[in-house]
Amino acid sequence: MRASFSNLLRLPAAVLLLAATVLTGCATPPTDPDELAAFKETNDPLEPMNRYFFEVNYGLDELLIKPVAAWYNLILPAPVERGVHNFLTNLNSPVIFANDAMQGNGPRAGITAKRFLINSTLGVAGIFDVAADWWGMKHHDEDFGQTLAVWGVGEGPYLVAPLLGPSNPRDLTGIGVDGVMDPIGWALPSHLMWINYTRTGIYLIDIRSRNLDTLDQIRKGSLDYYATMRSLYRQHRNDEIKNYDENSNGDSTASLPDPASKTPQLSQSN
Amino acid sequence: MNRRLFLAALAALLPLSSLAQAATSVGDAQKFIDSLGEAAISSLTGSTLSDAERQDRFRSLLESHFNLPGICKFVLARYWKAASDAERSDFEKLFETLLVQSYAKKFAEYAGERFKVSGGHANDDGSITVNSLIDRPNGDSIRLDWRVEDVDGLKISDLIVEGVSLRTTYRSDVASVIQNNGGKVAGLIDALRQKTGAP
Repeated sequence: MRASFSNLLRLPAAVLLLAATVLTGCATPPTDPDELAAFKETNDPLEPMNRYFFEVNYGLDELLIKPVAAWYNLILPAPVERGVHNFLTNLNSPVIFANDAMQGNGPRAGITAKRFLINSTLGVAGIFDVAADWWGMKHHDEDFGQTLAVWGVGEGPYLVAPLLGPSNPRDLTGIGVDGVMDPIGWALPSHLMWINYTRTGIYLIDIRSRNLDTLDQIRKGSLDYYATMRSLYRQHRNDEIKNYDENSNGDSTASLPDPASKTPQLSQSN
Repeated sequence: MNRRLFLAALAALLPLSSLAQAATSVGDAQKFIDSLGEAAISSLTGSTLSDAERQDRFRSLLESHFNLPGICKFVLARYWKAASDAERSDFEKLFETLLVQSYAKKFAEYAGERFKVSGGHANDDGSITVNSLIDRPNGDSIRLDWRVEDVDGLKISDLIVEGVSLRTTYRSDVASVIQNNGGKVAGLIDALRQKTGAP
């Protein structure tokens, strides 16, 4: 779903990124070993451009997305919000299933398929997550950026994309591919595509409204919000790629991502 | 002959005994985290508690259970060597205040979430990872992993929330601030003073 939104933006974003890359140029790696290690850990050769878009995104968020999300939280009762969230999550199941399958993860693909069948029917078009509530089959996310990582593709340099926020070439590619894979995009005739755009809009508001406190907290607890988010994004993605399942009760830190390493650990704990 | 037998038996037992030792310390670390969870919930979550009192209690739990000097050294990383003694101790004080100001109030929002230790293992570097979960009323749970080390008693050297390490994140934050202040630790100290309002 993130994907369909980006579909809309992919081209202008790519052009902007390219232009900005050419304009700012790349930072050259330092020669001092300590400095070089820090340079690799930061993984942000385009920092000036990234900081610029981070500020732009922050402004847009303060001005537009955050107020809408706050109102959304305020007006709708929690069960309705939960229903909207479940509905949108269920719509994303085909893309998650495809990525489970492409990662060769049969058990997780099976869970996604069963969840989709159960929730689309008994869960009234996905509004209720009965698969989790009654059968304990909890939702997991998956996207093509993670699939690429499982296939051994490196993340590339950190990028802050206009509107989309923290990312990298691998994950941006993933967003594009997920958008193309999404069957809702194929199924809708062009005069009904507004439905897909509406879905993307509500999806964004749903995500933002669920993170109002979290992002505030991070901003207040950090000295350099930009650098903190950069580190969080990378650690969070490496964690997602590892597919830690809470019911597998394992050692999620057994292969804790080494921030300086280019290739994430791909051990699968389930 | 007897002696050789004894030595052989000893050699055979050695790995076992060190294993047993590791096993008990994982258990100890789990108990340590479990008791911290209980202490935090009982002493920090009261709704009648004033903000100042909550911060004081949070600070004393932080000091008794966390290896703050070790965390500060990790966070300053390559700048630790460059920092003067005064800068190091300023940083330790201000960083602790930043943690207190940022996280103590989280406990005011406590709404009956359950905290449970769910696993643990010894790491190659001698530290122990304790896994825990916070169950939220809406059915989600949050993964918290604690890195515990034995430094004059058990102390926490890192907290990893859903795969995101506290000390690693602050290391990036701090490095960026220092770089943007011409590589000077003094710039970081100023930024921390400004952020926390502490002297």
